[in-house]
Amino acid sequence: MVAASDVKDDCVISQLVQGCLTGEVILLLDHSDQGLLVTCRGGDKRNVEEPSSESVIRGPREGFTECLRTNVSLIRRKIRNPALTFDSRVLGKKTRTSICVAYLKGTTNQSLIDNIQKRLDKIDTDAILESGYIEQYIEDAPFSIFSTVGYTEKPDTAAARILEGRVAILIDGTPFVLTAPFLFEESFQTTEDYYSRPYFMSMLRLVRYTAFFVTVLSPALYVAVTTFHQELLPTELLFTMVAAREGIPFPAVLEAMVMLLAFEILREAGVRLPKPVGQAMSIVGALIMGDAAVSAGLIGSPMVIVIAITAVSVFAVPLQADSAAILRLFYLILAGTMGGFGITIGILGTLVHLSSLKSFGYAYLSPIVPLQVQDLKDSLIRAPLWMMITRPHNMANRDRTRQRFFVPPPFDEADDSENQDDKQ
Amino acid sequence: MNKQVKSAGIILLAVTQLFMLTGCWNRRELNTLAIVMGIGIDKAQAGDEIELTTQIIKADKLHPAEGQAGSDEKAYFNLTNTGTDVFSILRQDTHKVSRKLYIPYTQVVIFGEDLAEEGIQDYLDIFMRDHEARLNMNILIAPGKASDTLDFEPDFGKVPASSIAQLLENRSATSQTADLELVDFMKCLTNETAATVAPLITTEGTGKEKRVKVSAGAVLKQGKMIGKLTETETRGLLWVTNRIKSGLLNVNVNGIEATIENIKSSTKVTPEMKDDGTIQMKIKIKQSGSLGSQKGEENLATPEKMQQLNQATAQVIREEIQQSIKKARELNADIFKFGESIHKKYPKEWKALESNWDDLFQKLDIDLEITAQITGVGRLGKPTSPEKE
Repeated sequence: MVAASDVKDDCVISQLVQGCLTGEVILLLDHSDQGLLVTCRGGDKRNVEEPSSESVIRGPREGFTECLRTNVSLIRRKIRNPALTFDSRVLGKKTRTSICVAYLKGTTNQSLIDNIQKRLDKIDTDAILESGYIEQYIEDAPFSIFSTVGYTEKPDTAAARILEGRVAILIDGTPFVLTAPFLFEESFQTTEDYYSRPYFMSMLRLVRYTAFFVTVLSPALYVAVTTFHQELLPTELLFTMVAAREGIPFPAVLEAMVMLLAFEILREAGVRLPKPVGQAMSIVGALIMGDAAVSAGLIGSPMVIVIAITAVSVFAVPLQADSAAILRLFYLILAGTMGGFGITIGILGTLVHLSSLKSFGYAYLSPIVPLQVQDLKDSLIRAPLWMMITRPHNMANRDRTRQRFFVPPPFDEADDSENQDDKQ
Repeated sequence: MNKQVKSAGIILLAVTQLFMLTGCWNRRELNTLAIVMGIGIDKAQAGDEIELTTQIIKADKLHPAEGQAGSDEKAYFNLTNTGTDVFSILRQDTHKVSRKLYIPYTQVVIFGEDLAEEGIQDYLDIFMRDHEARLNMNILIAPGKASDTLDFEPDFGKVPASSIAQLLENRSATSQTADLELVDFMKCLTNETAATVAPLITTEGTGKEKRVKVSAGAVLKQGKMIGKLTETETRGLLWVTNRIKSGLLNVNVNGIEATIENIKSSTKVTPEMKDDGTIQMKIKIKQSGSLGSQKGEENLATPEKMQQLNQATAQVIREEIQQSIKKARELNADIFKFGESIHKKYPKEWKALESNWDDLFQKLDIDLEITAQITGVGRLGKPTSPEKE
């Protein structure tokens, strides 16, 4: 006799086949018209370890793995509440990948859940190999450079987003979990912001916003000022720049574009190179090539500095790295043709686009546009935890309250006895 | 959906091609500019021609590369040309300079004395009109030739025109130098009765030892230079027009010489019309300073002595202002803008008075009320000296 926990006994042939392909055991008996499907899963899988794409200084270092069951259990361990619901389905005609949609029943808007279920229903494709496939099929604005679906590799990030009223989508075979909806401000938030005290973290948040603007606008502004609006430069700075540009054969726009291209090539090459060679190559490439180019008289040294700052700043906001790269090039071309006026037009166009962008029905730039003063506590700065009483305004309008008190710690004994009942 | 995408695509393509057609208009690369830092205008030998000297910087010499040793080469060059008006000379310069002249960074415009006596506003018209020229350019008058003052080796930095501009900024230390920016000159020109004062720039020494000195002022009425002021008279003017910053006043209290450093001063000038139609200008000055240094061993930090110091300071200020008023009356130039303040307060009466202003200015009753106060004596009370038993 063999004992097994999970046995299914009324099965059709297709179910037996699918079960076998997902790692279950088929037990067929002679002279019986039924087959048994026994779950005794094993198999090699990667350990739960620190994710390589999102490392933290303070906070848990677990990361999702490629196995769906493990990922589900990682989230369950963060939210031990019966309201946490996982709806599974199978997508992809040939790959038959298992997908789980996770949300907090009763907190998350039912319309959001229905919306996502509907979009997932519409997916009718051969292969779902990674969460990116799902993202590109369900996203709101496929022609926009800004992504409207977020992703994460860490369970505490996913759990935090679920608790805010968002929906997480787990896909078998990839450690990257999707979260929907995804707003612009989320690319500037990290989980560490909430684990440390608010003052320094607010400053860091402002630094991230600044880094985004620096990375997108620096080359364009530099080119615009030195080519069209020289009168804006202070006299000493003008001298330095003119001295640096003497003898440079190329116009400033061309210099900037060549340097940006060189940087992208170096970065891409650095990612693909094997680890021991990769580190050395990127440092060597960046420093020495830049220096040599200046000595050879091909590039001016202020340009090297501008591109270096641009290149480094983009890593402060990794979730916007792709859109930043395209925006930067767009502004650079506008600046090179039309100067400051061009940049203004570019920014105006971007703002118009962003304001009309929606992610699963929620405005991309909320809570700034449309203005929700309650939710500003978590966008540009991070208010102390005891101030964040409500969830984001339109995410979970059936269950808005996160916590009931608004007083900073330490609390009196009188207050303590009041808050015994745990209202979610 | 397909149709929309297609038409959107066509429109986008058309717009993008429009960008290519314009070809980046108005683009100027930095290394196609000849940056002008200073301009000097003199009277030429022949007839009504002028000599224009432009100081253009040589960018590669400004920050010599590490390979070349600190060279003796100048980081600028002065180009002189003659012609009838400034604009045409600036254009004629392009026959001799390989780049287009770029004037937004012009910080100083220096006029030679003989040209200043004939009137300078004709030559400043281009700077008032051109979009690129900045309205805060400084105007100076040189007793000799203007081109002379632009050719010296500055102590700090490499460009003489910048050095002159910085000398002007330094004037707050003594407050004995006037300053005239283009915008103030324009304001004065619109006013028939007013006159302004431009700083004087003189050269001393020759060759490597040559340096310039910027101080005192020259009086310009309707754009023509009519006289000069000494340093004391210039300071008197600054007292009245509330432009005093720091400065030293030498006072004498019962034979003890002391120097007071001016810390703060504010002046209010109000015209008062008396019943019989005459106007009295009330000038109220509140000044506070500190005892900078003294001669002798007497302790000036006592209340009575401080009182005497205050009175002596007020007296010194009064004398400076009176000297200045006397000189202004000699030259018949309303450098204190009294006419303007009367116009502001009594606009109706001003219409009648305006035509007679020259006469009125001489007879104007000026009432000075000066309060000087010493707010500190530094670290010492009594000067260091042996204790008297």
